[in-house]
Amino acid sequence: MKYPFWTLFFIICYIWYVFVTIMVALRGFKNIKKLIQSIDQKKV
Amino acid sequence: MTNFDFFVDGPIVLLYFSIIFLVGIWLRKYVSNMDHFLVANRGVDVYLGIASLAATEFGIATCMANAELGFKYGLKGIIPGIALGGSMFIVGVSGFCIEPLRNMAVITIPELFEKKFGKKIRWASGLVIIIGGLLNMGLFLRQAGSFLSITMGIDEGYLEVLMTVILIFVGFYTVIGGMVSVLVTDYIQFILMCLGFVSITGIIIYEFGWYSILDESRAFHGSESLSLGFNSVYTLDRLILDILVAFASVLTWQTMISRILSAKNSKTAKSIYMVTAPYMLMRFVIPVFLGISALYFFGPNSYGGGKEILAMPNMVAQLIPVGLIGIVVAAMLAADMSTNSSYLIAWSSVIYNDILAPIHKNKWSSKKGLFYNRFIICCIGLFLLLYGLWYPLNNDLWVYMQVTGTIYLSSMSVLLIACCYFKNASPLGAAIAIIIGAVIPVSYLFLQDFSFSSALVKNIGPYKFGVLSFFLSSLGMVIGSIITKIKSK
Repeated sequence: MKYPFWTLFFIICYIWYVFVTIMVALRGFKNIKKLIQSIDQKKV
Repeated sequence: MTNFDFFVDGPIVLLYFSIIFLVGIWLRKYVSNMDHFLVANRGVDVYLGIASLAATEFGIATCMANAELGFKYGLKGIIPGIALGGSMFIVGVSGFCIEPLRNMAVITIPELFEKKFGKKIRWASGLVIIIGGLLNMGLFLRQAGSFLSITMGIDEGYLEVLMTVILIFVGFYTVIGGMVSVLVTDYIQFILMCLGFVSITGIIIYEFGWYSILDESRAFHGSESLSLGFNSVYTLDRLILDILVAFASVLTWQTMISRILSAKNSKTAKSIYMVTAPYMLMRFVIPVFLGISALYFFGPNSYGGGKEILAMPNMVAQLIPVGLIGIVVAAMLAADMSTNSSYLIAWSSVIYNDILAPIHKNKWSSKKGLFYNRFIICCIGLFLLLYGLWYPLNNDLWVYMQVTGTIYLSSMSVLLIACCYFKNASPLGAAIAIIIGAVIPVSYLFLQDFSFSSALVKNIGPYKFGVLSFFLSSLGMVIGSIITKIKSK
């Protein structure tokens, strides 16, 4: 394999990027709901 | 020449704008006081914090600047990303400075400095943060306008119109929804960015071939471009400045720190940094890859003499097919808008909280405070528009961003470390550090434009100026504190 370091480096970076983005997308939505609820509760 | 079709890709961009607009309006009702507006009620959890921080620090200007590094230096352009990601990870794991900072529950860093160094240092800190921050952000709009005019095939004569449209749109949802709005729109933009960047990368590798791109980079830059060490092109002083700027940014850059200060607690703050660290690396990996791909696409002689920055947008315009280019443009707009909105609110918070503190003395009503914060955001927007049109860029965009950032990064990082861990740190030491840290980079920016000093300044180079301001700023803090101690005896 040519350029083994950079090939592996890019593969790991992109897999990590996609995986964490999916995780953050799923859980971040719940965080938004919680944040808005906490602001609503303080208003009450 | 571009593949952007206004009838196919235009509606995709319009749909994105509409979603952000509606979300902005919807979130308006959740902002009723200063805590909501500036730190989102300090209710940010880990995942939303990651999305927001990652989206904020990846804008069109960053993307173009880092693609320029890839085009000019090959894979060496990733070095600042390794420094930034590594610094963020180390600070996240150790809690160095950010843990005490979050525990003090302040809104800005200068507010913390007041507790240790007094009101004058708080005010002076706010001032250098604003000077450095606004100059750093000064070219964002121009780069965004330039990218959009190339990719959408709009005549460059409409650059000002494009810049104004972006600014009005970003200003709109930032002004009405504050940090709450910024966080939620950041989240949407974060997902869209990933979709756009992964699509571009996939198309490029499919069209050009991974090895062909690296072969071209090696052929043009030499096999040295594939190593991460320094050489005659990527010099040692540049490497040192990359590391210093990276650490200082992670500790004191207001848009990063505002996510730490908005976090629920210090544990959440540390987690946000640890998980976001690799995104800071991706902030360089993706654009640098786009830059070396542009080198492959156009060849080494196509974009020279300071025009390297335009290679990446031109490649995107000509390579990405109709339909997909609409998503890519929307993704880049998302990247830019999330950056601009966060930066607007970050600098306005410093102006209101620290620079105007002697005027309002924290006694203004929430309503009045909100009004002035919104007014400040509008003023910053106007400044960005005028500065972006006026300032001529003489160097790499990334170098410009480093030098302007150093105006406050050097002294603020020294002050923060001293504030948290140096018992004998004194206001005199802080004042000397602030003055030295600001004077050196500002001198560089001015002297490079004068005919009598231009040659000398360019010979010394921006990196030595940057490293010097970090070093002398630290020295100033130590000497000032020693003088204070001797005097007190």
